[in-house]
Amino acid sequence: MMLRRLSIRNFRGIKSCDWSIDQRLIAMVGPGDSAKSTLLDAVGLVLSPNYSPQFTDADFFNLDMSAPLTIEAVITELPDSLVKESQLGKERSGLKSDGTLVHDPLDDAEECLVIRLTVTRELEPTWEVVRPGSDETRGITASQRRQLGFFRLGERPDFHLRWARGSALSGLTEGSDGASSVILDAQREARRAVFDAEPNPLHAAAGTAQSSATKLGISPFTKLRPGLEPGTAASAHALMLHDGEVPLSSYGLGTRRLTSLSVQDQAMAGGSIIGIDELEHGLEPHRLAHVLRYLKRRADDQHLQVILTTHSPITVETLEVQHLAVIRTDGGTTSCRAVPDHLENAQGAFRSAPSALLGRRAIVGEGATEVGFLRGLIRRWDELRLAAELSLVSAIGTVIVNGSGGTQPTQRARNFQSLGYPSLLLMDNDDRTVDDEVASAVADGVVAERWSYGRALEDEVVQSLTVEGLQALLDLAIELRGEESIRASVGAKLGDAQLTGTDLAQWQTEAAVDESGLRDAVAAAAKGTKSKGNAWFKREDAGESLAAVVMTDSANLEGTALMSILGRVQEFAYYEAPVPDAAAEQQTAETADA
Amino acid sequence: MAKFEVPRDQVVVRTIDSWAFDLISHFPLLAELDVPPSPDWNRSAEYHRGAATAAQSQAVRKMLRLSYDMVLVDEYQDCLIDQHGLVVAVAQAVPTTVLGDPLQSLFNFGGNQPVDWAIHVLPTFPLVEVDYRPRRWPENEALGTWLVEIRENLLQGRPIDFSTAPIALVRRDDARTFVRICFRALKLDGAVAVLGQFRNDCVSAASNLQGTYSVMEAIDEKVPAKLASTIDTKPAAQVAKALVDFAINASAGLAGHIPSAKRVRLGNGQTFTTTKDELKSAYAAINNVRSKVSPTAIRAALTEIAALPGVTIHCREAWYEVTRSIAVAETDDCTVAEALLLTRNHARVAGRRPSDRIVTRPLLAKGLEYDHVVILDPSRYSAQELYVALSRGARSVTVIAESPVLAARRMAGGSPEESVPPIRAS
Repeated sequence: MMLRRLSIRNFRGIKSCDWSIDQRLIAMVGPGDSAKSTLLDAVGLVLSPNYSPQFTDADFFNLDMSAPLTIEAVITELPDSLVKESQLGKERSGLKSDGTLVHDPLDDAEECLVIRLTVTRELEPTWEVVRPGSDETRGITASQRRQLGFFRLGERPDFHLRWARGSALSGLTEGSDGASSVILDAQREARRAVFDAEPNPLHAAAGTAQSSATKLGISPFTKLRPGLEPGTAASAHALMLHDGEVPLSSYGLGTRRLTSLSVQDQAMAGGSIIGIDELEHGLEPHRLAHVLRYLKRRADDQHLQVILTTHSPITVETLEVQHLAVIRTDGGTTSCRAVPDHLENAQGAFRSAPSALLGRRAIVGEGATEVGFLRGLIRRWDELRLAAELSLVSAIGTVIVNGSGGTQPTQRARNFQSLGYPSLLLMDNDDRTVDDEVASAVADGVVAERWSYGRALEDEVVQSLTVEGLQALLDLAIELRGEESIRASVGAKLGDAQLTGTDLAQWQTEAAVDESGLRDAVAAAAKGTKSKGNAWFKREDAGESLAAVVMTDSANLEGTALMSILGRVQEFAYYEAPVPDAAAEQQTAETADA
Repeated sequence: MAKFEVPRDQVVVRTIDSWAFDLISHFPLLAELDVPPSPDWNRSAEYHRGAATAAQSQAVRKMLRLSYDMVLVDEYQDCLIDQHGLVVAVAQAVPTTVLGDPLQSLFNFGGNQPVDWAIHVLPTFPLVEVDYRPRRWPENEALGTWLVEIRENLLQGRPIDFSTAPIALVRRDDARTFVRICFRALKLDGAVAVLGQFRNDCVSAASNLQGTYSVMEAIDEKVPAKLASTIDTKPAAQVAKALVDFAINASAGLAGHIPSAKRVRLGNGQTFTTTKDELKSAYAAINNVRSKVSPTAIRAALTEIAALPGVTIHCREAWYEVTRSIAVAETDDCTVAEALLLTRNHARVAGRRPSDRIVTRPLLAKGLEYDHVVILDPSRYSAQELYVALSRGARSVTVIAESPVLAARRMAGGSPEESVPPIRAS
């Protein structure tokens, strides 16, 4: 069985969602309230083997029950048992290779069932098989839905480790009444044991009751005694897997979840669809990676389809990009995107910044300096916002990504942008060979922020700071690299002027240059020579400290190009989506990670 | 199936037509045919061809393969050529066996084209020789044996010699010879059928017999008459409801399929639908009646109703009377009430079960069995009609004829190849 399409209307935080799926292993990533778990819930409900899951008003988008809640799933690779004419054989539709649905299972299409769950304002659920382009529907029963083999790992992790009705372990048991007869025999044995027990205080109490009853003339009791109430077979739920003497319920959550997963994997001979909420839950990193590899193999062998949610960078790193589905919800519209085939180096981009896939928007810094510089800026901005009781960058979900230089920054920004993460690219403007790349990134929707024409970060900062600010920058550089080195590198840019001390005004005199000449020399020295690797701030921590210098001086820098660029970066980093409806937003937040 | 204790969930019984319509209404693209919600049986040949097209698709073949171990088609001699095409398509997916007896093929009237055994059937379904066991004649084995013997003569168009046959041969002295014979037959034990050929001569014979033989009376004779008059005079919605009410009274197991609330809706002209697939074609047929009353629509509705799962007709006589009346109205172009009245004109209830003494004809008697049979004039029958007539009586057969040797009979319809034995005889 394979889920190929999911269409949702008016379900919890999702007003509308249409998802086409051709993967067998899907890791849903996206920011915390993007409705990932709601999607899993939706799959679980439309394929639910239960007769009547309970619905409430809160299951409707925005609690608005004027339109019905519907969840529609297209399932291929149907079990033989459902293809019978007496089952749903005549209700099959076709899924063509271009993704369109056709009314009949044509020879050049894959046979499929389109299953729709509708919940009306009376909160009555109905499950039907529908056909594209037709109003004809036909009911699908709970037991037919059970044959579709959907299994949700996450809720009640112990359930499938018990011989409970409908559990995976029961499914694995040959003959349906095996567990019942075991439990009944045990109960009969226990009854006998109680009757056969040595006389104890219970017998004395029973004797008292009997003589009292006889005095009242109630009934001709002959032998009142303690006994165990006869049991029923329905309590097979109490039968659970044990390892030796130890019930599996005593094991850790991760072990229980994995065991339950492995039992389910075996229980559905025809393959099943497994939904996993937060795969990493209860698992150490090495076990998580192992499980992912196992699931990948099972999915590759076409035994399983696995749909999981994750907040774990390890999951993103371990999987390949084609396993990822990026889920985003904006104003109730949920989009589910696979990584497009044409993305170059997507694997590298996502492995380099797995956490960005778990956020909402990305700022790609050209290299280590920019990344550090951005971190420094954000630290300061966050402090200011905290004081003003505004949300911090982590709440907004903006993640900084290292572009690693060259053409990679533009590529990474484009990768994130194309998956729906609004992306900002912060780049130097002194290298003409990347201009075309930047232009195409902008064409893809990336916001490109570059320093003034011809300038690198160091140029822009050195040329913009006040004299005091520039002195602070020099002090920072000296702290990072030592007096000698800094004096030598600046002196080299001033015709090998002999500089002394660490005071800029003094240097200006010693080198006999004007302020502009000195700034040019400092900027050039700060950038260093690529081959020598002697740039002053080419490390994240250095970039971060540089940002602190700029921020300290910022009050005096109004109107500079530097400040307007930083202003735009700030605006991007703290962007908050307009909230069309407060209740809907709140609901999204409540249900998404429920 | 119930008689042989075949569990109900192990077998599905359908008519070819309703199965075909059901298949194409589910798979119009595979059938390359769009159909309205209710079948129009004038287009049944198209339905058969569409269903055959659909049955050749991978998806339908897979469904058939997964659903059925075997397909059996009975009364194959009555299968039309387009129906045969569908059966051949089904046979590609599931092992299929067809059962039939060309000597009992009576559907050659009108534009019907039944299968030709040699041309259509045998090339697809290799002949299986089955021991011919005349099961109907434990009390007259000689008759059973003789019927087996004359099969070849009938098929080969040879004369039939009654003089040595284990039957009572009565020479026709005049036009009233049969009256004497039929009156004498009244004294026999068991059911007696007097066989004519057409409606008129049956009615006329019944008339001459002064009502001692009826043309199949209903157990409750008012029911068919009332229904007939409703059909002829009332608005379509009322007719549809009356038809369903009649069917429910004449059968068991139907009320659950069409609950009273739905019947009320039917009569009120409100939407009348079902969500159950197995009922849809019957509902559609009933809706057809409501949209336009015609004997064809009514007959289709009754056929569908009778074929519904779990429905058994216990008022068989009433049922047959109504369905035959509808059939007569269809072929003789009269009202249903007239058709019903004509067949009953001279019948009287004379203290015995009317079905014990009836006048009928091969087309209607086919599939039925009587203890004694009187054949009014074998010289008017085709070979098939003669075989059906001669094989209706389990204990005795009386033939009224001009001479002991009956001239060669014509096979109606096609001309079967030489020495084509039957696949099965009943």
